[in-house]
Amino acid sequence: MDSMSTSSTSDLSRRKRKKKSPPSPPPSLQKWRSEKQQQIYSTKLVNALRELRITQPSPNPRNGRAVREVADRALAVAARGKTLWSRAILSKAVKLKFRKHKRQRITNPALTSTVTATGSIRSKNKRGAATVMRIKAKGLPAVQRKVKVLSRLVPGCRKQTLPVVLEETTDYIAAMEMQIRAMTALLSAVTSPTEHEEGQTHVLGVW
Amino acid sequence: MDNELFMNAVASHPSEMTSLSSFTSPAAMVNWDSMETPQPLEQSIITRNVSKDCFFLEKSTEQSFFGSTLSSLVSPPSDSSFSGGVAGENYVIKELIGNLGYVGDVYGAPANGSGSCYATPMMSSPPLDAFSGDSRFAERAARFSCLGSRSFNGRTNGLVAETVSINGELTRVSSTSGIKPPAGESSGESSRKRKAKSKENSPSKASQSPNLSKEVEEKEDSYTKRSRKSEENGEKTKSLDPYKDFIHVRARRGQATDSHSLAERVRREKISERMKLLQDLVPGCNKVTGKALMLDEIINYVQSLQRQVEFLSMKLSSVNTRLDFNMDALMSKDIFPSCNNQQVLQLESSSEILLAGHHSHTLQLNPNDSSNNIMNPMETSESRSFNSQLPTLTHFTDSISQVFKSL
Repeated sequence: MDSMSTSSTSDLSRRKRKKKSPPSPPPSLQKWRSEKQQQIYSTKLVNALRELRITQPSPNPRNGRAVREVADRALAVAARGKTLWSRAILSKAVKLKFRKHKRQRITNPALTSTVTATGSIRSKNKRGAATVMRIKAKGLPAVQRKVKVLSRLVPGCRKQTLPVVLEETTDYIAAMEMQIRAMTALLSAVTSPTEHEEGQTHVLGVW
Repeated sequence: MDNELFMNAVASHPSEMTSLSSFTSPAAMVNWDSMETPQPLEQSIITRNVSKDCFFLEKSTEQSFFGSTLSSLVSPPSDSSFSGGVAGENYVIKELIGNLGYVGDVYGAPANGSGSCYATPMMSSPPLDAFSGDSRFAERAARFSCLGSRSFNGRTNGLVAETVSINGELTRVSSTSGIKPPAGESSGESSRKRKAKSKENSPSKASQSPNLSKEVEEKEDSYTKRSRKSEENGEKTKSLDPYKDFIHVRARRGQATDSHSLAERVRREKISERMKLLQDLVPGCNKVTGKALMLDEIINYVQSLQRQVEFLSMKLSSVNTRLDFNMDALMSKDIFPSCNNQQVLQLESSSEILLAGHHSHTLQLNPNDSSNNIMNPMETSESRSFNSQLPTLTHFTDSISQVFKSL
């Protein structure tokens, strides 16, 4: 590296090193891939799920959505609020709660669960419809339209510029991958032992 | 204000008008090599002198020096440069260097490595050998160029960071260079305002600056080391000093150099580097090129991930009734596979013997849990455990055995 004896060794060494290191993911992404983060998230998720009161009819679609919201909120908490999407998720929960309280005060108290459900249903429909429609219609600035769609997918990025949206998407994808890993692990931990309960007291190599 | 005065003073020399345009490329400042013939020599010296002093302008603390340097500047160029005497120019330069040197010392000594790269081109031109402390002078000059075009928001010491960025930051080819920034500074401190102002100020300079920058860069190429040039071309130095509010970019060789295209290039670079990151993240994006297709892939991937999360959450909700009393075992085993195993083992082993004890253990461990949905299932399982083999009991034994396996 310091082959040149004269000045500007720093230049030349920098030049020799100019071929950049292979693009390693930024530290924030590596954080999402770490085992520790997954454990933290799993703990949070488990605790949050425990507090969630599941109504007894289990194939209730609302329960699934509620669990999903809990999972997303736990993920946002695990993100420590440094990213736009995590803050948006958390503020969404607060807003819904606020709206729920307001409606509770105004209307019947029995409608609370339905309020939350309809809130999420509505947003989902809008999201799905907008995705399909907006791509087809006015597709001339194609990249622009796609960016809009993407920004709608990622929570909290609706009115952001492209570089911001891309950055948030990176973090969001990494976080979601971790979320999926944690939830699958959790599910398999819950379901698979019970599958073996008949006749087997001793499970080998389940994991 | 001072700048405008200065400009007027300098502009009063008709022959210097042409050299004014070369302010815009402060690389001329470092272009000590372009002193072959007296004519370009004068111009380069003028520009050097003037550009050096322009950077004095912003240092309000140096007003006293400004006065002296300004006077020294205004008078000698009229004498020496027009006469074309090399000695006279040297004298002028030496004088200015002396002033510069003093000022430079105030701002602290730069890192030697950064300045040393300028020593060689300077050495190549004989007249400049007479200068004392060439390298330091060049360092300071370069630093002042950076300082001049840079911080108007704060005059704090970003020098350490600047010396690092000096290597690649000679040419402020964007219009934020030379005389223009001070004019912009008076109007406001935001980068936008500065760029607007600078654009207003020098329409002519902008037109001439690309040519000059190109020729300056060509000259540099011939004299400076190829390595440095290629390094500068290859690197896009973006200094990230905290007190600055915009990013300095060096224009590459052969590229447009007005502020618009530079800003656009910065923006495009940002976007493309983020897209590259995303490409690594999203599987199957390697074959796809182009923003639109990649965005398609990304959208699909995000949607599929969200669908997966929904599906998993539905499954979880269906299993959730059993989640509660499986929770503790799950947590200990699944979530902390490596650590805490010892404690888990002890806990679990004790539970084998004494179910009630185990339950109470866990209940003590999690006192904050809403006791309702935990205790009841626990109790039912407990009551059942005394009757027959239970799923929960076998589950616990399973979990214990798995804990053993995982060791």
